[in-house]
Amino acid sequence: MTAAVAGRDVVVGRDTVAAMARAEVRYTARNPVLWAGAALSAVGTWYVSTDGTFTEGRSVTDGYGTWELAAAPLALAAFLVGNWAALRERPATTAEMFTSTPARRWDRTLGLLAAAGVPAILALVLMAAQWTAVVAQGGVRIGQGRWSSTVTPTPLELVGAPLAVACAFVAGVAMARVVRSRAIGSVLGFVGWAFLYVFFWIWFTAPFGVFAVSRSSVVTADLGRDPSTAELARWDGVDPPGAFAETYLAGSRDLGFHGLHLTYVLGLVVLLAGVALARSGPDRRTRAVLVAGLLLVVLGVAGQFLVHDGAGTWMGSL
Amino acid sequence: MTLPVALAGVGKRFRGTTALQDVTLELRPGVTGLLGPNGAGKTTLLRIVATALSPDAGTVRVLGADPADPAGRLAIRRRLGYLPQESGAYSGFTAFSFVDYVAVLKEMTDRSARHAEVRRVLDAVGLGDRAHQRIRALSGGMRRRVGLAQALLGHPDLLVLDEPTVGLDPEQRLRFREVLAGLPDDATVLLSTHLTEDVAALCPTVVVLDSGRVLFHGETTALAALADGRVWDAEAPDPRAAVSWRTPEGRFRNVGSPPPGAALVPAGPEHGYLLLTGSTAAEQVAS
Ligand SMILES: Nc1ncnc2c1ncn2[C@@H]1O[C@H](COP(=O)(O)OP(=O)(O)OP(=O)(O)O)[C@@H](O)[C@H]1O
Ligand SMILES: [Mg+2]
Repeated sequence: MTAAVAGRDVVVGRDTVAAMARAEVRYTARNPVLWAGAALSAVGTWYVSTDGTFTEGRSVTDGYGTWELAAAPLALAAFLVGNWAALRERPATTAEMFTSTPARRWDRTLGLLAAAGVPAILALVLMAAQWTAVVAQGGVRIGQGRWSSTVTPTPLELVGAPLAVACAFVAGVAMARVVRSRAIGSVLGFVGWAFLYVFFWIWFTAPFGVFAVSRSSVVTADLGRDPSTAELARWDGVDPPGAFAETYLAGSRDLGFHGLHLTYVLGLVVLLAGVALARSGPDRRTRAVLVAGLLLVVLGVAGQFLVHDGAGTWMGSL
Repeated sequence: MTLPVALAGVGKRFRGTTALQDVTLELRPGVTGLLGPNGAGKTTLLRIVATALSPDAGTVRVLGADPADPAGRLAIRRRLGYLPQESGAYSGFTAFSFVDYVAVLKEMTDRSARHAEVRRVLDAVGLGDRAHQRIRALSGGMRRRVGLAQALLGHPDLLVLDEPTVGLDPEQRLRFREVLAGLPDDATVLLSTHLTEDVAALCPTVVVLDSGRVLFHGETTALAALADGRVWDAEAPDPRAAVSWRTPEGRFRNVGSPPPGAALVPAGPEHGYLLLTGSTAAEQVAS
């Protein structure tokens, strides 16, 4: 791309960007904050894989609905590591020194963005471990009691957490390019992370669920107080009325919906990368990145609304 | 031959301050010292030459290329080494990994060749044995040398060094002289300093800048020659002097228009410099 679009005489070559990416990957892979997040996530993964969260049959929003939740600490760590790495350079000193090198700030940002792959791979390893543990226990049980069923998680369901974690890293870089302060960026990142992960039940309601950065493939619906047997049978699992709700809450794995949701998250990653690049100096390729991200986001969001009638119902189940 | 640095009518303003005014300057290969009081515009001039800042007025040609044009700018940066006044470094990195990172930014993509080059420049600044210490654990002078090391990466044709000797101990200053002496003849070095000793020791050519204007550009010996017969020793500060100062012996050294019969002292570049900048300072006070 580099050479074809802009020419080697105007910007550094692809090999230089690749070398920068390799350097940033090395620094990221050695970052203790990232490993602390990964360790916490590993503990979480081990816990939910062994305590029956996914296999015992719990509420549809609780058990399998929290499939990606263990990646939360890793996502926070990824945000902070990305943010701090992007803010290593200081305007009057190191940035001034780097200005006079062939690689521009835009190229440096691009190199750093590539390091999002490091936390994403860690998340993938954790999810693969979780998947293996759950499959060894006979699969996932959706719903509780009479209306429950057992399914085997698909490879597609391993992609969500790595994408969310990559998104956090890229968001950290974009934040750094918008807000120059590590302290302010970190606090804003923490608030955003808490909103996305700690209040995870918001993401089971419409239309918020469409915009979640991390959610499972389980889609829920409120069946009212008196659903027919046929209606109950259409779902993978159903929570009968209980302490939290007076109605039947049904949940099913919906891989088509989930695929569209992942398209949206991928779009978000690309869009945030575009924001980080747009704030790193002029380059004509920025527009293509922004447009690609926007297209994916629109495709993912519109698709989710199209395939799921309930997605547009304000505060309805999703 | 294209001149390594050619400025014509260069001006730069920062809000209310005029940092550079109508600077016309042509540098040849070799070491040129840039002298001037605080706020003279030295850093501004070096930043413009190092493609870190664009001027408001005038034309700039560096290594035969125009830094305002993206292709020209890249061509310059591929042949440039720059040490900013406050160089800074990533304190959590080792000296080696930081300089290695800069080497990547300088398009050194082959890993083993790059590592060899990083070792070479760290050895050149005497940090070979400290290469794997974190920068935060290095002393101020050593950090400065990390900055110097990165400027030397890749044998640049043009070195722009903003106060490279600040913070260096006498031994390291000597080493720095050796580094400059070891550069190829066709390399160009433009360095700023406050020390006329540095200029006398390092720079065959000197530029004196004051209030954003070039007051002098010529051989360092010619700068000293400006003060020939104009430096004298006396019991007291002389009102005819542009500048006077007390010597360690308790007498007074005066630079200016000596009275008849004054005890003249051999002039050095610092006297020429003081004569130039001292008289503008006096004019400013008068006006
Ligand atoms: N980024 C800036 N914003 C505003 N004013 C500036 C800026 N940079 C320089 N100046 C002003 O321009 C003038 C020249 O500054 P410059 O840093 O070039 O001087 P200098 O000769 O390098 O001084 P010193 O010996 O103290 O390093 C000063 O008056 C300074 O205040
Ligand atoms: Mg300065």
